[in-house]
Amino acid sequence: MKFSVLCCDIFKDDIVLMSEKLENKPLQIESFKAESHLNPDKMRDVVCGKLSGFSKENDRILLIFGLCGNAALGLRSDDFELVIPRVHDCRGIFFGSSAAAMDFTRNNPRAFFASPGYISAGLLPSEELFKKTKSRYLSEYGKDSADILMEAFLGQFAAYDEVFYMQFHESENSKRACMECAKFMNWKFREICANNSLLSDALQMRIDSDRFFILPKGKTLKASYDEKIFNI
Amino acid sequence: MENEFDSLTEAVRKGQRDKAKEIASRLLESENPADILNAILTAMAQIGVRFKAGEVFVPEVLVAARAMNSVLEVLEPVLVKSGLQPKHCVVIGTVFGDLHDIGKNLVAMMLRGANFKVVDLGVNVSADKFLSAAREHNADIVALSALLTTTMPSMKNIVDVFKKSGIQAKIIVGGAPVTQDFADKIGANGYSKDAASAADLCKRLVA
Repeated sequence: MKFSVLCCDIFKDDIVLMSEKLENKPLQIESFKAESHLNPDKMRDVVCGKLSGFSKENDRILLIFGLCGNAALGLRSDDFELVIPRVHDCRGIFFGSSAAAMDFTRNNPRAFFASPGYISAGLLPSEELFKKTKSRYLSEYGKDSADILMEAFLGQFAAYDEVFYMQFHESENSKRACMECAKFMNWKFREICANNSLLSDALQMRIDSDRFFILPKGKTLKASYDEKIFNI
Repeated sequence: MENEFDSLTEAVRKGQRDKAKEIASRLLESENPADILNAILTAMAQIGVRFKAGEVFVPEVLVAARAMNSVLEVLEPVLVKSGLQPKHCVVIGTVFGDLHDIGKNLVAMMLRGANFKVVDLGVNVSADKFLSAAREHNADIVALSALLTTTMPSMKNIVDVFKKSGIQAKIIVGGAPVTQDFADKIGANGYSKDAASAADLCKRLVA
């Protein structure tokens, strides 16, 4: 079976590393920026654009992201089968299943997550990110409004009191960056090994209907609003 | 004095908190507080229309809502004294399992601006807490917010709990991943795509 991968860029390095060991390698690995998640409608457009660029030689395109704020809804392809893991977001991929991710979140509701890919994408709170954001607000909205907007921006981190470093592949630099983030944010630093079975099985085309949804050609991806997540 | 009302509307619309508060305080010395309230409601209605048309975005709405709030701080005690109290109550919160509150706060501000009494329960709110607050405050509407698709099932649970309880409050849902389709599926009374539409929706539901 010939296939290619379309992923959020926080998984790209992991996928490239894992693919090197595969006998049946993906024809192509394409990614899109994690920041697309800020606007799910925009992310859907980006994904659709990328899908139309894949070679018709492929039988399947493996999508390595989840429902992601409904960004995945409405996807379709007339040329390939699309395979998507039944996960809400990257946590489900980190933990090997949506259920495992939700269990962990229930037990650690104030935990922020970071993987090497997440850190490379610049999504970790840091002094630099805060300065950059403040500077953008100042230039676009003026001082009074910038203060209010910064308050709202910082507010999104107020719910967390610890950061979990998800080790998907070894990266000392990423781990160090995560520890610095914990110090800067006054969060507790914790480390956890990711369960890469979902990603690994996906790349080896071990696709079962419990963990993955296979979207036939010409069909549109819909939400099931239950633990299955996707439907048509 | 008509220009002063226009200036107040403009200051709120532009998110100029200090200027808006200053004009409102000056107007309060001689004008009817209902007219002052109307001036800030006009500002929020204008910004709501522009937001829906895609001409302004969340930051502009947020700063305008903060300016409106600062005017309400000086206006509310006078409104209460003069008998212009809100007639309808909305209990609002982010559902259990979800700690996000920017959207919920924005909706709460827009509702206050639309002259609703707002009881904000915060984040990670259980069905029982929504239920007891709705009873305590005799709520007309209960507004549920969620940012995560993982916490959307909490909304269904809350709707089910309210149906069983027999409380008549109408339940509305919103948040980035929530859709009209989902709202219909769980039996909510209303869905709103954004904060400005939430205020319109609440007005329709209590009309």
